[in-house]
Amino acid sequence: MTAQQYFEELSAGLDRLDAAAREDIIAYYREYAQEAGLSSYEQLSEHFGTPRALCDSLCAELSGTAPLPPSPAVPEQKIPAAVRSILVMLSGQKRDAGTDPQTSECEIALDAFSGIDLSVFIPDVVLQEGDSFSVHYRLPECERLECAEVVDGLFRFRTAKTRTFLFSSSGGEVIITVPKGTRLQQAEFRMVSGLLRLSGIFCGKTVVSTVSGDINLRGGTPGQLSARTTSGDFFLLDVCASSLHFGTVSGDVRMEGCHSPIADLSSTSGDLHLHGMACECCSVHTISGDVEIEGSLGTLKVSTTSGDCTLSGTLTGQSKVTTVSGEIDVHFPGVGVDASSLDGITLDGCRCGKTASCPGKVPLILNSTSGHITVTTG
Amino acid sequence: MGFQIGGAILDFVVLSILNSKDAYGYQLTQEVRSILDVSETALYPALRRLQKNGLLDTYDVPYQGRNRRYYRLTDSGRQALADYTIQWKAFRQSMDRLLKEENHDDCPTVF
Repeated sequence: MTAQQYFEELSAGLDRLDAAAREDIIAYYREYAQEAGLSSYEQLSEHFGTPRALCDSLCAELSGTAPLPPSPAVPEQKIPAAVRSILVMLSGQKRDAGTDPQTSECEIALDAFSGIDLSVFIPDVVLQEGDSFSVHYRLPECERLECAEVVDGLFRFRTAKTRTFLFSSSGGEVIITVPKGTRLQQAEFRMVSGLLRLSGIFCGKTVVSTVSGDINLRGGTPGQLSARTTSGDFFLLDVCASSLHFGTVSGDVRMEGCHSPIADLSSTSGDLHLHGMACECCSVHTISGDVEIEGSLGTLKVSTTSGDCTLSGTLTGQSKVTTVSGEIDVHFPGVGVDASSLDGITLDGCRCGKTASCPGKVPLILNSTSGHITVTTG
Repeated sequence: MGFQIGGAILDFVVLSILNSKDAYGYQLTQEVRSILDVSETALYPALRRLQKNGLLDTYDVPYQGRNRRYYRLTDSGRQALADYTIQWKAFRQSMDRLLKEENHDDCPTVF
C-alpha cells in the first residue's frame, strides 16, 4: 500500500478537527516522511502507528479531550513515581489532604456571598450551582493558599507561589459552588494557565484575565463580561450578557447562540467565530485572525489587516467592514452596499469593477485594499 | 535512550535545541530523540503547543521542489528558555545534593 493511502486514511480520521488543523498535521507528517525516506503505508505505520492510532492520539491532544498541560506545568501522571517522590522530597512540602485550610486539598463550607475575588496561578477554576456556598480546592505543589474567606459578602480566594519549580506536578482545581438561583453582583478571576469554566451563573459584572488559560462559559448571564487573555481561547455557548468586551493576542474566540446588546472583540492573530449571535452594536477588530459572524445584528463594525471576513444574517444598522488584504464575503438581505476593492467586487453574482454600489434600506460600506469582495443582498 | 519523560522537559529540550539553530520537524525529532526517550509522533503536539503559546514560530524554505518548515524561537520562547534554565539549575543542584547525601549514607564512617 502507498504513503498516499496512509495520508488519506489519516486525513479522513481527523475530520473531528477543523480544516486548517488537519492540513497542518498532514503537511507536517508528509514532510517528515519525505525527510525520513518513508514511502510506503507499512513503513509509515511502523514509525507513526496505524493512521487510526495516530489520529486518535492527535485528536485527543489537540481537540481538548485530553487538555494539554500549560507550559511549564507537567501532569503528575506523566512523571514516573520514583521521580515524583524525589520531587516531593525536594520541594519540602509533603502534605496530606485534610480539612485544614492550609493543606493543598480541602473542602470548606462558606457564608453566603454576593461577590468573588479570585487570584490563582495554575489551577482550573469552576463556578457552578449546587446546594450551598462552598469551595473545594486542590492546589499544585508550587502554590499555597493565602486566603479563602468571606468578608462583607465578598468571597476572597488567593494563592501564592511557594517557589518556582519546573516539575510543578498537576495543575489542581478550585471549584466554587453557589446555591441554585444565586445572583452574584460581581466576580473577578485572575488566573495564569488554568481553565475557567462558568456554568449557568447569574452575575452583574464578570471580569476575567488569564495568560494561557481558556475561558469557557455555558449558559447563564455573566452581566457585563470583560475578559483578557494572551493565548487562551474563549468559548461561549448560549450566554446572555449585557455587554461583552474581549481581548486576546493569539487565542480564538468562538461563540454559539449568544446574546449581548454590545460586543467589542479584538485579537491580534486569533480567529473570531460568532454563530447565532444577537447583538445590537457589534465591533470586531483583528490583525491576522479571520472573522466569521452569523446572526441578527444591529450595527456592525469589522476591521482586519489580513484576516478574511465572512458575515451573514440580518443587519439593521449602518455598518462598515474594512480590511487591507483580507477577503470580504457578506450575505445580508436588503442592504445598500457601497464597496471598493482593487481586486474587484462580485455583487449578487455579477462581476463588477473596483467599486460597486446598490441601493438598500441599511447602508453597508465595504473596503478592502487587495482582497476580493463578494456581496449577496438577495 | 534517556529518561522517559514528556511535558515540560520536552518543551525545555526543544527550546534549547532551537536556541542554537532553527530546525525542521524531522531534524528536531532526531535531536530530541538523542536526548529523551520520546516517540516519533510526540514532537508534533509539543510543537503545536509551543507555537500556540507564542514561544515558537515557523517559516518555509524551498527544498528540492517542496518546502521545509523551520521552527524558530520567538522572544517569548527565549524568555521561557531562560526561566526553564534557572529552574533546571536549581533542580540540578538539589539532585546533586541529594545524591551526595545518599553516597555519604552508603559509605561506612572511617575514622
